[in-house]
This record gives sequence, C-alpha cells and structure tokens, in this order.
Amino acid sequence: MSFLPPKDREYLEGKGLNYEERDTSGQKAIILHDHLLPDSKFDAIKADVLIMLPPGYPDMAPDMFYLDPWVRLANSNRYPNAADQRHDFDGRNWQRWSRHNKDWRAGVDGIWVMLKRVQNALEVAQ
Amino acid sequence: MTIFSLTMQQAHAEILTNHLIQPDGKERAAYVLCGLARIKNDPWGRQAHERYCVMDVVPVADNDTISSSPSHITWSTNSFAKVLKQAEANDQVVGIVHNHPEGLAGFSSQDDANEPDLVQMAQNRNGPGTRLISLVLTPEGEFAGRVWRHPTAKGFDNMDLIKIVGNRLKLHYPGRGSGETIAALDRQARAFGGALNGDLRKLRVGIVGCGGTGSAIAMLLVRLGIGQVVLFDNDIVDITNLNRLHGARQSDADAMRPKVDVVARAMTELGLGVRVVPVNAWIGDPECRDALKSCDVVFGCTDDHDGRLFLNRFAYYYLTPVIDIGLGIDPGDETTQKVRSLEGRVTILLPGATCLMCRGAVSPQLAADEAMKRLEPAEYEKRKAEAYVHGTGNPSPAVVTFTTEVACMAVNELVHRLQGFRGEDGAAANRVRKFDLCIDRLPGHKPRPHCAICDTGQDCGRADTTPFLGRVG
Repeated sequence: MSFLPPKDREYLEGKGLNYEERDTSGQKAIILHDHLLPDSKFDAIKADVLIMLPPGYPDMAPDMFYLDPWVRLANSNRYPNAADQRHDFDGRNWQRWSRHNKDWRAGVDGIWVMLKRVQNALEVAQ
Repeated sequence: MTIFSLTMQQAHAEILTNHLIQPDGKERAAYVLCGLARIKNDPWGRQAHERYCVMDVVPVADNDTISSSPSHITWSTNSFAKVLKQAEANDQVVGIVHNHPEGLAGFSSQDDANEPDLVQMAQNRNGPGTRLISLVLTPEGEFAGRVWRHPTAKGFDNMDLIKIVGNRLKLHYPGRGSGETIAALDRQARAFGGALNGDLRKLRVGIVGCGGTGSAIAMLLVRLGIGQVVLFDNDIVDITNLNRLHGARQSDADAMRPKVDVVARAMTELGLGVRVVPVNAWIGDPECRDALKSCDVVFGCTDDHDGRLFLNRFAYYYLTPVIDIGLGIDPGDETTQKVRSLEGRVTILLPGATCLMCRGAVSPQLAADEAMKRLEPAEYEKRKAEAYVHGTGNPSPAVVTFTTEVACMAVNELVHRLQGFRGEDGAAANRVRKFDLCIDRLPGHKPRPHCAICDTGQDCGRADTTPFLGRVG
C-alpha cells in the first residue's frame, strides 16, 4: 500500500518518473531509478536517487539525499564536497549527499520541491 | 451492532441553515459530501462506529425544485446524480438534507416513503453497499439524522450523535436535556443548567500526554461529569514528576508504573461514573487510532513536537477539536531571580482556526529530530556527533500551580464552547496567559498561504485516507 501523500503520487506519476516506494523496518523512502545526471559532470551518466522520508513528512522536510552508484566529479576525479559518507539502506551502500533543507515550507511543499533541490545540488556540485 | 454519527463544521451548518430556512417558510433541500472514519472497536462501547465528517455543502437550487410548500418538497434528481458522481470520484458519502418548517424534529412518514428510492438510485450508480445519509433541520436549528444501508423500509439506522463544531460545540442527540443530574453534579447544574451535564456525560474525550497538565485535565474532567475518557502516553512515572502529576505517588515511581495507569486509577477512584481507557503508547502509533478517532474532543498535553504535528493534522482531517496546551517557563539569569517569561498557552485546532505550524507553535525540525531519536537511535547518535541534530537540553522547568492553571484554562474553553457562559464572542482560538503579569493575551495568526492543513481546507473532514492523515507515518 502506498505511503506517499496523494499529491506526491500524482506528481511522480504525472511526470512519468520511474520510482519505487521502499519501506524497510519502518524507514520509508522513495528511490528514483536511473535518474539522468547533469551532462558530463560526473563519472556516470545516471544513478539511482534515494530520498528518505521522515515519519512526519510532508510537515517534516526530507533532509539529505543519496546516490547509488557513488559518483565522482569528472573534471577532478574526486567526490563532491560533503558527499563522501556512506549510508546503508535496503541492502545497498549509498553515497550520502549532505545537503540540508532550511527552506522547506511545512504543509505546503512536497516531493516536487525536493526533486528540484536534488537537481540543483547535482548541477552546482564541486 | 454499529453506531453512526456525523460531524459538521459550524460554517457548513450556517450555510445549510441560511439556505434551508428562508422567510417563505417552505421546505428546501441540500446535499452534503462526507468523509468517513471507520472505527472497528470504540474503546468504551466495544462496538463498531461509523463517523461521517462533512466536507462540502451543495444547496439544491430553487430552479431544480419542482414543487415545495411548508410541508413537502419535490426536486429534480439530476442534481442528485451529479453529487453521486462527485462523491464516487472523491471517495465520499452523500447526504441529503431538508428542513421541516413546521417543527418535526424527526423524519416524517413521507420521508420514510421517499428515501428508499434515493438509496436505490445511489446504489445503482455507486455500487451495492453505498450508504446514503439523511438529515432534517427544524426551525429551531435542531438536527436529526439517519444512515441508509438498504433501499428497504427498515434499511436505516438513526444517528447516535450529530456534532456541530466551531466557536461553539453543539451536540444533537435523542433525549438531549431530559436526563437526570446526579446529586454530585447538582451544584454545577445550578450554575449552567442540566443540558450541560447531559452533554458532558455523552462526550468522549481524549487526553494526549498524562504529565502535569494532562493529569490535571483528567481530574477536572471527572469532577465535571465527563462520561468517557481515553488517556494516551507511553511514559512511566518518574520521581521528578511527583511535584505536579495529579494522582501519582512515590510508590508509582518506584514501581515504574505507566502514567496512563496511574491517572486512570486516580480518576476512577473518585467514583463519579467516568469510564477510562488507558493506552500506553505514543499517539502516532497505529494502535491508538481507533480510540483517537472515537473522541469528540482531544486535549493535546504532550510536550513533544512530533506528537503535536500529528494531532495538528488529526484535528482538521477528522473535524475533531484539539485543545493544544503549552507551558513556557524561561528561568532567565540565575543571579537575578527574576524569570524571563512564564506563560501558558491554550490553542484550539479546528477547521476555521489557524494551525499550530502557521502559529509557529510547533517546530517540524525538532519533531524530525524527536522522530529519528525514537525510530533510529543509532542514526540519531551519528547525526548528533556530526552536529546535524539539536540535542535535547535539560528538562524543562515546571510548577504545579501553572500546569494546573493552564489545564483550567483549557477545560474552561471546552465548557464555554458547550454551554456559552462567556457570551457570543467568548471563544478564544489562541489564549496566552502571562502568569507573571496576571494578564491574558489572544495573539492572532493568519494561515500561511497554501498551508494544506488550515489554509486550503482541502482535507478538512477527509477522515480515513491512505496514508493516514496524508503523512508518511
């Protein structure tokens, strides 16, 4: 059974995104499969994106996000800033992107806002 | 055996009343679209309960009316087909509402004869098992209602209770005002009349958090004559609670007794006829749901942000007034011996009132930290080491006189909304008492634009939905 708020579901389905809801021992998350990364920026073309959803979401903000496989910057062959810690979820080892969310509007924002944040963080990564 | 009830916002009741009761004294009709809360087992009656929550009111326009007089109305069923379609799309239940200008506070034989055809039509269109609600309104503003389950003469059940919630909390139920007052509550009836005592006996009240304020509210409710109470708390009595926890003893701390059991014992020992259900769990846990959904009013006496966020949504989804209580003592600088602030806050959460998030009275960030601590202690410690979470500081200061006074403020708000002793404009959605200055303030806050809880109103009365309360949970 879906645990996503209806508006999030509508957004993800409306965009035709390949996503999956995961619930492992009470921790809930969505995984976007084969998310295309910004062109030539990283040593991979695409990655799975993990977004952990806290229990009070969407009143509580989703915080960081995670990639699998781990990616390095193409021009320097190193991990982007604050993206070198591991996070275990669902039997996979994810690259944690410590990007924090101070501007979340509780009760107003939804997954569409988080996806923009992810996209923006990937584009400006250095 | 299933019992049935219906809850409506005062604003919706006013739209209905203004449409149905007009100077020409004729019968008129309207529809309501309702969310549904299914309770498998209410904790007192131990029976199933279907609670309908009105989400929308759709008046039947005069040009859809075929004929009407003070004693009958006939209207085109086109509009009925339209609301059935809308209800099916939004997972709602339809109700028909009409008035009896000549005062009959129940259903007429004409209603009994006509309504099964509408039930048949509803079931033909929206599937077998489709319910149809029917409400009547008298010129005095009294509602009666029933729920149709089959399109046959006896295919309905009468509503056990109809609640109108808003600045006033009005209860409509068979026999209201005719019950006997017990001797122990006689003095209260002399102040406020017998109907209040009957209403209090009928009410099912939840108390979330059985600390200083929750235990004080519990004891006040018993002496007011409340009939049914459910207590929610997942904590045990600690020796540092004994300065303010009504009913608790040293031996309870030594035996590490759950707070809910200790407060339930103290309440029932008074022998005033209250039935108390203790639930030793965190309010957001699924095991609390049936009991919480069964409540007519909830007092939010929890000191955690996570629980507050949860109740904040609950009030609007289920049209259940949540009276949220906060106590803030800032001891200031130790050397001056003058407190920086000392205040109690009572906030009513309900459609039409601003929610706790928009009032800035709850912190989603702290709530997230609390939730992580509760559910993922290892991750919480890791983040704490990385300074990503706000460590919980020292225990908050608390004094029994202030926890008990803010409890009195909260219960008086309920008594006023039931009985009206403060007059027309006496309800306060948000009252802050400055104990050090001996004054009350009523700070107002507007909903933030697009707040899905209190501004758009989109889920007010939605009741059961997946996920529960529209949160990940």
